[in-house]
Amino acid sequence: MFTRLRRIARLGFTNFWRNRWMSMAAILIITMTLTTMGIFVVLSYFANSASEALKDKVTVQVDFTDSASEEIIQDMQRDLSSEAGVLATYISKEDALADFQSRSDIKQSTKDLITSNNNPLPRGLRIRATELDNLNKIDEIVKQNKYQPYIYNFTNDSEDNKLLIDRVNKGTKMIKQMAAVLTVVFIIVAIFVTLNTVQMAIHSRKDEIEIMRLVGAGQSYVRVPFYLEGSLMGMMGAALSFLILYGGMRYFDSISRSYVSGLGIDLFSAFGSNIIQIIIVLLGVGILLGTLCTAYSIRKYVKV
Amino acid sequence: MAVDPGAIIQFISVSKEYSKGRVKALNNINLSIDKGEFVILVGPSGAGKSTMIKLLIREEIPTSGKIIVAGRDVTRLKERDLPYYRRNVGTIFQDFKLLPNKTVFENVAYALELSDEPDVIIKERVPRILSLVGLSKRSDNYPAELSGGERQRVSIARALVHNPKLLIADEPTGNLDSKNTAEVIDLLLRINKTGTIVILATHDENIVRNLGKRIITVINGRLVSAA
Repeated sequence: MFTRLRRIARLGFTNFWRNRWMSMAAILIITMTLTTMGIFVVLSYFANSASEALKDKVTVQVDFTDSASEEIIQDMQRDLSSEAGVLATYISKEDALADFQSRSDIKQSTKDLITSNNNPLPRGLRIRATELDNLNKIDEIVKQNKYQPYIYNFTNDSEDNKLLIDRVNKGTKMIKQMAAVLTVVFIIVAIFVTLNTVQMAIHSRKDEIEIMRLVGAGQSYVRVPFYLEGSLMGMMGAALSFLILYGGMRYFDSISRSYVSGLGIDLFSAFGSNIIQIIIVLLGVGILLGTLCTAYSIRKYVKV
Repeated sequence: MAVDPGAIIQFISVSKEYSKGRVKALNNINLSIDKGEFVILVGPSGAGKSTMIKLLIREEIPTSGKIIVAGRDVTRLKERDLPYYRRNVGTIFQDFKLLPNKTVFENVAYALELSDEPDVIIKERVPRILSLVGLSKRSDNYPAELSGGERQRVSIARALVHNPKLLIADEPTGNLDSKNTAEVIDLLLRINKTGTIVILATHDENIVRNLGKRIITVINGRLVSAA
């Protein structure tokens, strides 16, 4: 058993090495597929982070007059959370005071004027959008007549940023959709091209397969070295595409920093902190692609 | 024709058709070959010799009829038993079918490796077989460095390395000059003397006429003489 494994492995490796130029085409195709996939993932991530960052930038807050009952506030909180699909956090007088006291842009002398015994700070709802789209609905809810008497102040700077938000929103959606469609298309194309390339490589070796059968090679001796070659191709493709993505990321990172520095997106460090997952996915898809294509291609040649 | 218990190989009413019966390659072949025989299949190209050989090594299955080898109907062999069957049947071809990027030694050893023979056996058996075919000194050469006759002897060595009971040679001298042809035929005769059945297919009757062996003539898919 061990002898067999050793011989099969040696066959796979030496075949891979001897046919390296033939394998090169398949490796390059796998590399291209994986790289494209990687680029789409990065783009989606970038788009996501951009819209996340934007959401953080938008503050929407409703402050209530002291005459507003807790029920009124709770009503609005419920309306916002359920209907508008946003997150409304209740801020009590104490919370407001704590916030106020912790602000560094206010002088201590001013801070001393407001204490828990003398606290004019209003209760409020701080609103965060789970989706940028939902910001539009907040206005409708807050500006209902039943709430008007109790509202002390309503800040919604999403109005000011509406154009930007709309744009980012549309951009994000488009990028995500495009990435999904193109990834699928590219994988299908890659499967066909890899299949053809591997088939050509194997066709040129059909004599070898014939000889193997002739001298009584069992299935495992004929097939497994080919699978091994296929998975080696996949591994090489994964390694190459990793290098390309890594290099590209460094380059893109420096550019993106200067364009969208305000949004605080750190692509490179995100890449770095997910490096293990990225390697695993690249290797996994690469090996799968290489092995499956090889398995499919040798089918018709290894009929015993 | 009934099963003959004395025969090692038997074709019983074997027919082979291609293209849904439009081409009849073999037509009701009955033939039996006994232990230790040297049988020569002659006939023009396309007569059906190669088809008989393909059926015998189970590369193809007859349209009808049975082929019994050592008591087993090879037409009904299961796919997983084929490698074992083929190891008991050595085959050599006109174009040698050697692996170009392996040395003489490796080409022969390869057949043993594929059947899980331990390294010790390989190291012992390959040199012995190579000396039998007179290629001991060529063991580290690649096929491209050998003459046609030498290449065919390598392929004979590979066919013999499993100690098969049956050696099938399909036009083994087709690419060889007369001197090398004589050498190969001589080698096949010596192998036959050790008890291995040899089936030699050729379209060139001249090279086998004086051997005094059983000659079977195949024409248009029928046996014309099975003397």
